[in-house]
Amino acid sequence: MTNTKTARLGVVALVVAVVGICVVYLTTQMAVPPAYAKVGPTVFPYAVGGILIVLSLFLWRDAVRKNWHCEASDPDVPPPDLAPMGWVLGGLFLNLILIGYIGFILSSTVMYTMVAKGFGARRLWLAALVGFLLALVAYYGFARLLDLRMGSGLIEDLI
Amino acid sequence: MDAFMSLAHGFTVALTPINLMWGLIGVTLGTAVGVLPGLGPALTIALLLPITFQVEATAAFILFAGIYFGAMFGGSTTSILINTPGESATIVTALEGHEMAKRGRGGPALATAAIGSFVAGTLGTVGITVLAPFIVKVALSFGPADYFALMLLAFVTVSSVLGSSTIRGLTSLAFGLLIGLVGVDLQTGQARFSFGQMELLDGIDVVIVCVGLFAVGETLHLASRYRRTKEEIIPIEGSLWMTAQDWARSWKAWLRGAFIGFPMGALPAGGAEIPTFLSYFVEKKLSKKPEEFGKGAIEGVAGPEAANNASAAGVFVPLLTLGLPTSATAAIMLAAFQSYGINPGPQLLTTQPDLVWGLIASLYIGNVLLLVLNLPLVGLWVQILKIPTPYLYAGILVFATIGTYGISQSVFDLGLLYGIGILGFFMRRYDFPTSPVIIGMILGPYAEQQFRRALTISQGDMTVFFTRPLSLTLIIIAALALLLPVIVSTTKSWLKKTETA
Repeated sequence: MTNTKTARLGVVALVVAVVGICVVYLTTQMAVPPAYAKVGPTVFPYAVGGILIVLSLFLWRDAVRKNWHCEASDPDVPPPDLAPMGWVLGGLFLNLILIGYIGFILSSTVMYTMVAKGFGARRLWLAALVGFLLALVAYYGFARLLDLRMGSGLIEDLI
Repeated sequence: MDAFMSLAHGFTVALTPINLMWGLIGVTLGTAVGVLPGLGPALTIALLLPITFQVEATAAFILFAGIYFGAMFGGSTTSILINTPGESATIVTALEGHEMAKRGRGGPALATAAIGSFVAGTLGTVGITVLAPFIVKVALSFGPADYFALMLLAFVTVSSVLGSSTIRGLTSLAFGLLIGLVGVDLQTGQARFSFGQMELLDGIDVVIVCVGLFAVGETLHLASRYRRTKEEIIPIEGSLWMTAQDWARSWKAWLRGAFIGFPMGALPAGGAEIPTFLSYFVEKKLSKKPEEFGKGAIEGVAGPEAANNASAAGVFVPLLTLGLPTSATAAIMLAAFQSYGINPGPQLLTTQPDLVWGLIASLYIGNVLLLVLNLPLVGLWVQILKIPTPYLYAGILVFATIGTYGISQSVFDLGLLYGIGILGFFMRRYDFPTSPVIIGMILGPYAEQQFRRALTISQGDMTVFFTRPLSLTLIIIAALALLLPVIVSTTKSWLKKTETA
């Protein structure tokens, strides 16, 4: 295990510590009615925050002792393949932005096509068509069956 | 026997055409998601949780239980034919099963897995039938302090069992507990960790967390590495029929697997991983041909598959009698109980006999349906493995979007879903188990409720947890489960040091 990899594990331990500290700090900011002072709504948050801080120390120890075996620290596992991940994340991000404007069906079609591209689909027009039909069927089948309200959109308003 | 009278009544509930239909849908859907890599029962049930607003509780739980059992059957098909275990519990099946498939014995491997699952699933259900009323009698005397201690024990065991490191398991659990804390505290009306966001006042929906971790996180993880791994489906060769020798070598393994799996599933330790590994080693030890292990020994498929299904049945015992989920799927089912306003616990058997016994009866029926679905029709399931990866994973993300956006129409929730998905990706990279997050967020609020109830009764006296014999015992066991590995390893390294010195 190289030093950069150990450092990365250390960062993970640090993140856990920061979350724990934030939890404890936010809990001190809660205004608790005096009637509940003894077993109030802050006991569990304090406990969870404290546990996270303690665990971060153990994680730190595991990182330093190189006693933390995972994909990120395994020299045999290649680093994450960024191009496919970029397509998938881009699809998710676009969906997030578009869904409110053009509706579920079209924005899901965009996401579907980008994710399919990320996973190596060659004929993008076919992926787009499949994605569109899947979103349409899902909208009218799954969503109606479960009575989910998918909201309006360009296609949704046509039908 | 009282239990068998109730069970007979359960069959009259489960055998109504409408409930039979829900059971059939459940096992079919379950087998499909079990076969498809990247989908699991917890994710599927989470996506279907909105159905609890549409159909009555018994039907919904028959559906969910069918999915749960079906996924266990379907998962073995995938691990035998393509050696990518969908769930951790089927890792062992892949060891021998895939070797058998490579040697042209895929048919008998699938057969012994399916029949073994049927035998063990049925034995496990008999176990539920007998054990549940008994545990309920004991559990009726539990006080809030005892419940809290029991949940504490479940937290510890679940975190150490569902992963390779107790520390990382506990970290996942603590994150789950933190997610469970978000929102208005029901007892005092105090908002916690909601950052002034309206969307967070009601708490974070379990569907968002579950779908985020299991669907979005899993998809990102696969995207990061699919070009570097090669998967190949091995066509089923030879007859599905097992030879007389196969039968002779399988049936004892099934029974042993069932007897290892059920008790371990029923303990608040959870997880099907340990019983399957245990069964594998037992079979290897007892086999007359241990040299065949690693090269496709049929006992190595029969035993672990049986243990897997028996432990899946065992999980229902703490869930139905104590309201204690010991796997992610069970935690989602607990969320479904919440959605119906039903409080699972020892009263459940008396207040909802139709639901509980109908559910147990449906497990017997589901096992029979699954045997039929998975043996003669196995070729059909192999077909769905041929869905191209790009279309499959893009589709999973569309369903993930429907499952969350459809409930609330909130872009905030959708952002939260994708954010948790990215967290899930890093958890996979750094080997944090994801199931404790789900268990922590569902069970955490219950634990807090029992903790505060216990302290209200004792008027703030913390010693209440240590003066009740049951609660003290459970806390001691929890502490031992947590500290023993640490003590053992430090003594070992200390001994080493003194030796070398």
